[in-house]
Amino acid sequence: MRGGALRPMSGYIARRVLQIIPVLFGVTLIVFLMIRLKGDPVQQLVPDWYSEEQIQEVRVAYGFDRPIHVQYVSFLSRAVRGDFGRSFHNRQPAWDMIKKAIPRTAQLALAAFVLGVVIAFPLGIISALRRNTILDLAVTGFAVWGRSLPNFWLGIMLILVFAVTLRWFPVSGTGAISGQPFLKHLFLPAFTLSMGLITTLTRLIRSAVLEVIREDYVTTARAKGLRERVTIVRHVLRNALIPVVTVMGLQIAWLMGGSVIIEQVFAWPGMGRLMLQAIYARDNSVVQAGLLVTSLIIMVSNLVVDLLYTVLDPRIRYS
Amino acid sequence: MQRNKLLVPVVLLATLLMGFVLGQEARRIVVAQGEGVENWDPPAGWDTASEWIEMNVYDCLVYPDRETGEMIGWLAESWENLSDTLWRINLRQGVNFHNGDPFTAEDAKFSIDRIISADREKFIVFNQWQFVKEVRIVDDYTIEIETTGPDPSFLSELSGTGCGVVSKKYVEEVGDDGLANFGVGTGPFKLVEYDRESFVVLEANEAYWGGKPDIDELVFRVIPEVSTRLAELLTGGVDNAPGILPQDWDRIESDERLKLVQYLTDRVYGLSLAQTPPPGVEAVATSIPEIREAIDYAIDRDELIELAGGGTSTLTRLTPPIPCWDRVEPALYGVNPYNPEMARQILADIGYPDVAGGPTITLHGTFGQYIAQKEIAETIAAMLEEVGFEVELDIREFSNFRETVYRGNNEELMLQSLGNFTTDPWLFILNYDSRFGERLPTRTRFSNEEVDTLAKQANVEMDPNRRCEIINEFAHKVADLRPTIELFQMADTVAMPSNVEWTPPSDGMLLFVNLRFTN
Amino acid sequence: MLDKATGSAPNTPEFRTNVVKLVRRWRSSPVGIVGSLMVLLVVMVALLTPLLAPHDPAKHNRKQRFLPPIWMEGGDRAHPLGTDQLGRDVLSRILYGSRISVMIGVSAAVIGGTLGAVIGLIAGLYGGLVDTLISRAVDTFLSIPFIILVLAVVGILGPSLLTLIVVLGVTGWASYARVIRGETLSVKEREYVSAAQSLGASNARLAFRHVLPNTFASLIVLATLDVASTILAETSLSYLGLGVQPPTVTWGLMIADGREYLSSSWWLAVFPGFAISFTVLGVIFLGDFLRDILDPKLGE
Repeated sequence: MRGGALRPMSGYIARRVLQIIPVLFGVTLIVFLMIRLKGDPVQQLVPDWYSEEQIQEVRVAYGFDRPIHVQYVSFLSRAVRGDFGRSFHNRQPAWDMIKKAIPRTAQLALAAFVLGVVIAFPLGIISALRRNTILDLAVTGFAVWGRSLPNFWLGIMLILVFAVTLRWFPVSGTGAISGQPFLKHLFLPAFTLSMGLITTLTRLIRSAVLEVIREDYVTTARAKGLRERVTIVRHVLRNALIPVVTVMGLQIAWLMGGSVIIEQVFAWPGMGRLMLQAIYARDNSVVQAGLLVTSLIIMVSNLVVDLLYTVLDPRIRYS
Repeated sequence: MQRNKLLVPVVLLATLLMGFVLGQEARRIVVAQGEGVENWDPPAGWDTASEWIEMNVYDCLVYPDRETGEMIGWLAESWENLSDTLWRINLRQGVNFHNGDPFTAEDAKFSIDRIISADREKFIVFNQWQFVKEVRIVDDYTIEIETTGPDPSFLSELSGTGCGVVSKKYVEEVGDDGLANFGVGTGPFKLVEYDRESFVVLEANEAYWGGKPDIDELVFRVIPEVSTRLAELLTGGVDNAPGILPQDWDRIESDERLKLVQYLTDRVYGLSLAQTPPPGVEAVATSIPEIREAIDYAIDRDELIELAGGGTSTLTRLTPPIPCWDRVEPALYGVNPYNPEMARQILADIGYPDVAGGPTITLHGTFGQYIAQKEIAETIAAMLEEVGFEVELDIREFSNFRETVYRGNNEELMLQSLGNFTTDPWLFILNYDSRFGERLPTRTRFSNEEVDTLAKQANVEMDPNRRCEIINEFAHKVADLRPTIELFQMADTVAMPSNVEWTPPSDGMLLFVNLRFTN
Repeated sequence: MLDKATGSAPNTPEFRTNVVKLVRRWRSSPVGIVGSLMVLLVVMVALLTPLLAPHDPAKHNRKQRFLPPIWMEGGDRAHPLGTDQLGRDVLSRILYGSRISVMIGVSAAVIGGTLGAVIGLIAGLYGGLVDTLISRAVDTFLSIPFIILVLAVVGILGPSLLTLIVVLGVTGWASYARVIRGETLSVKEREYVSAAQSLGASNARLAFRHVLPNTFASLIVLATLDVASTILAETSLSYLGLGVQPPTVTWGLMIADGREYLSSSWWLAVFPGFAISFTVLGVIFLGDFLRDILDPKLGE
């Protein structure tokens, strides 16, 4: 088994990468059809005062008068080249606007991810080891309560407490204007964004650790006289990591989605803000490009998570 | 332990940076805005935020003085009306664009030509500039403008949206896209750095023809969330923000670094009343004159003003001051026609004797643009119900509102806010002229031959006195027929550092050239 | 997945055993008791609102704007939780808000659950190309961030109560379909279904007699947790201005409107916040409890 593991593994990777293609195709279809949900997308593009003749002109200019499958093929062929058309609102190529915003959201999401892991791991492990104590109750209570808060509400509250009252962190923005360090600006929005991740991970790590502790080999290891900390690190963590990695794949979609609200609250100029403004303004090319790119990011992250998964646990079926 | 390791350099860096800023003693103002600049091409958009910020970078040929209503020269030094359709404009000499290009007649002609030779698709203000037939260069600092007809509002229209003068050389070099991304003008501030989603950094134009502004660095930050803007004000992250809500006044006034200034804008809250039903609807109650009158009497303007923060909002039945204002009878300004008994009486007279079961009317509204917009719509609905109307409140998010209601699918009432950014009555007239379906008439579907005739006369009457008489007659006709019911002129409250003197212009333009530091 | 070891007889669906088990476990689970009591309270309040609410939630009172809660100076006994910017009673609005908020949560979960279950069943039962197509569609939907998709679609259609419910429901089908498909496959593999199939039972009969009852538990668990996330999603939509509009009142709308008055009248946004937190907590407790006893694997 061991010797042959490499081949099915590379086959698996290839299959897994290929799986992205139909999904990506599906996303383009959704994104394409979405703006046509209400019939004629031109009605939403043109200003209020356009006459029927002027609307028809725009329809022809944007190709909305052609049969729908022709429109889709043309949309697809342009999208492949990164051409999503221009923003109807400020006439910039949609892709250029997206390109500028991606790194900013990536920074935010990455920071949220790191914060989530850094906070959730100790919390989950401690509450599992001190099971049924006040500490455990407090941690699990926090983890459940955190899930019940609307995130914009949490963001506003954190600003009031940590930025306005305590003055530990700046209120909003990325620091380009305030002159304060980027990391200080990053903390509050990243923490707000990571709340969902923290609560989910904490609960998960707690139960994963509990499950592993109950298993025989930890008991054996303990009997062998290994110190508790070593036991945890060796066995517990490694095994607890598997479900955690799985959940992280799903959490990336949540982080990207949450960024829409967090970026609005903290005036963070990323993808979320860009897409929200585009949604408000019915700026369809930006909405389409943004959704497609966001989905692609999620797909790739899921792919990475899946591959990580097989590395962590080679017993996993390659199917 | 590890956290401390990280904190030390962070704190050190912060201290260094702060020292740097303080050491320079740069006079810096950071302004919070809900929206950013979409485009630096002056005629490309009429997003208010873009326009407000842009006007610090660009100069127009002429611009209205908000105090007197007179037109003053900016890049035009003087002008002469040669005939009913011909104007000669002498341009200011020795002015340079921010990039060093000298300003000449070529640039003035180019800036107007590119609007009138484009189309509505490219420049949203295209139709508004159709009063210009041709711009001719006489010499390097003189141009002649021929209008399409006799045009008494010529100067005012010349200062309309898109009037910012651009450099011909620069635009030809960088193209429309280049201009959209980075504006170069002759204004009091020059653009240094621009991040569409986040901020605009401007720097004083040392060589400004009107004198160097008192501010060295002017920064606009885009902060969409209201509570975040307030938090930034309170922590010093920004020090100037318009649109402060009444509920936050105490909080800001208790901060000694800040002060509040309230000023009257040229915006008027009002209702438009549909005279005919929209497609697919059989009838609207507001087609009956008595019902329109009853609505007018049912609304207590004082209470609405209180909702919007009180203070200096003025009662009005017309759009704001115009040069002919002194000739318009005071009955149309500064009055609150509120009289619920009268409203009930009118309804009883036309067959609705009971307070319950009156005519059903729909009130459309949106939110997020102006102060207390949603609350005002909800309160008007309650007031109308008190005199016997059955009100169906229809509040929609703005883009949906625009797409459905605003395009003429509105039923009886719509809460709106009309601004008169010019100091000339032409815009006021346009709102009731049924030939201009683009604007208000789409929603009121108001059409009156007498009114149209008066409008036509006012639009070509070159004698100022005669024109004012026509406009006075026009205003009375409109007030009687009630295609719109004006409510009150809005005030805005701006927070600013306590060590500055600044009066924001009534058109809401955030022109910072006249801001002065007092220490 | 359901307890395979019990191996129920072909004609007595396992869910009956599960119900018995559920009741027994419920009595010994504090989380289950607390969660269901919280949810019960919210549902009762929503049903009895007209009897409980002291005032008309839409009634303006010009003279009584911004009244603080009863225990603060200036509070009025007629308005225990104070009044809002238009003098409306906050308590009455929270009570009436419960109806719409809970309705949005429950209807969206029912729509998403039904749609997802049917599609998942079809995928599981038919297999082959149908299954592949559906599975890729599920992957597709799961790789688009839910809230952004909902925002974009509501932005295009325009927000109304009906749009919100339908969009929140329809866009949520994918996770149900994925779980139900898996369950269906595993139930199908079990002997008794194969036996039924070899006896010539139709797919529809198979679905309703054997598969659906066995996947019901997972469906309930998923739907319960979905109610919680939908209530939160509605709040976010309201915050971004794409939620329901007045005169309809929801908790999300109350918080979104009230946040502008945070510095002067905190009670406008804080009390509806409590209501949301309470409801969502109750639902999560209940959902966690159901998951722990019915379907422990779902959590991963």
